[in-house]
Amino acid sequence: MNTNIIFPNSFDKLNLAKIYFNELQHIIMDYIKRKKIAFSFVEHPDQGTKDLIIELTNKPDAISVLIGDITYNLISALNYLMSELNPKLLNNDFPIAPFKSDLIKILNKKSYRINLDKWIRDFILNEIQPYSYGQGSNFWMLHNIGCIDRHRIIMPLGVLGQVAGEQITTSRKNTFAFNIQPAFFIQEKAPYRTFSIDEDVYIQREPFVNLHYFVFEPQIGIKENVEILRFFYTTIQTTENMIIELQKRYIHYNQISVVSH
Amino acid sequence: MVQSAISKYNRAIFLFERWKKIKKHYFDTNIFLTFKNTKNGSDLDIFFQVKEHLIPLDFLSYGNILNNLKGTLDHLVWELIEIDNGITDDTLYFPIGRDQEQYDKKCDKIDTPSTNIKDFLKKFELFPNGKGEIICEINKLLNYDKHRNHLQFRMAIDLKQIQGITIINNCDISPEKFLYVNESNKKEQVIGSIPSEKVANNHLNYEGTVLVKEDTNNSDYKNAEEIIISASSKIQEIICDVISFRKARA
Repeated sequence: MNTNIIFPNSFDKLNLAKIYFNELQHIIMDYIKRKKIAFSFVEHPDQGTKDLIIELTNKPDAISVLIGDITYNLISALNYLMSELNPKLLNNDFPIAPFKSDLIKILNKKSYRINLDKWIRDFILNEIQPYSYGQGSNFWMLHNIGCIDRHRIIMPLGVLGQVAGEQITTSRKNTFAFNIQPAFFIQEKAPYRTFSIDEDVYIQREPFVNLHYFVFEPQIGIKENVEILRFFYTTIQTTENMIIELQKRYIHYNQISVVSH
Repeated sequence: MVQSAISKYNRAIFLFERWKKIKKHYFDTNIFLTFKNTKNGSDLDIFFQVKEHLIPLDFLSYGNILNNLKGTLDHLVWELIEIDNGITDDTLYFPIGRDQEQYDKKCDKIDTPSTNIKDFLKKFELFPNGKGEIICEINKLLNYDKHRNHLQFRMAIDLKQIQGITIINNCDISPEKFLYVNESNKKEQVIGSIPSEKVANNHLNYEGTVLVKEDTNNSDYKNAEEIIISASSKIQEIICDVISFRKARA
């Protein structure tokens, strides 16, 4: 059976989101391979110290706009479900809410109550749960990312991860491993550790870069802290599974109605 | 300065260039317009073949082009208001109105201390019959593409470009002489004839055109490529004006 028979337009938008996701994945992986980590020191002679500065360079510009494009198509895929379920819902978005109580209010609105069968409303409310802390909390996150993307650029937030073994040794026989918490902005030069000014510092091995943490607003700080590749991967999967399940049930319910008539 | 808006704009242009390549590939590999001798000898039959009626999935990236173009304007206004210490929230968009009155009202409604920003925005006239009318056009298409359904595309061959052609009846050609490629059920047909002397070196020059509209009965198809070219040029103008405005204020 062609799985696209009931919701072809929604599937098309989902597939377009997948194309952009593959591009994002490729760009991030490529960056991780080609990354340049620049090390430098800033000396403070009055304090007798020097700061080791770490800078991740060559950040790919396309990441932010690609996040916007994936989000746009996923949200459209969800919205199209409404009009494909019932053309009378052409002006209605897929219901997503901050909390369960808000979602109930949306689903109880006249347009959804009249034009969406009860089993669909129950399916969305009880099984999909598109609200924060629900099973479909990704949809709420997606909604938020969409809101940010519409008005301002989504700033990437990079994280340097720890790898096994010591990476920094000094002339005083000190050894350190890179271990940076998720607050290291890849677009900034960040002071990592302070040493004595007369201490020689050797960087033995570059740290592993985990570039998956994003969504940062310059004015507010971290608004949504998500591992972007994993987030989109799971959201695409969840959306696809939901459309397929909805399709199965749609056919099932329609067959029942055909038999009973 | 306005970096965020410019990255959205650049993304739109990048996607548009890619979209044009997809379009060209579709016409080059899928549509064949050839000719052969008719029985009377002096005219050539125009013979039209289409391999595949399906529009490629990548064509839907047209929606992303629209979204990035419209996003450019919303990012611009966000930056303007932010610098002015005005109120920036999710309801802040670059104003677009159904007429001048509504547009001016929307500009005035923006909660920002400097009135000259509101006056500055008003001069862009983003309403039907205003100077920025084309933005209303992309906004309408975008709203449809985002919330409702796919835009409707028609792959067409502009037969006006082939001089001296005589069209025969019942071959899916619009009054404007567009041959609609993806809507015909037939995979091959003779669509008309042309005097043999009009065909230089046994080759017919024609151009594939993509037409677009929302899925409503009362709207007409428009040239998809021309819409993006006009809108992006208008947006580029607005970006330059915003940069000059900000420089003057600084």
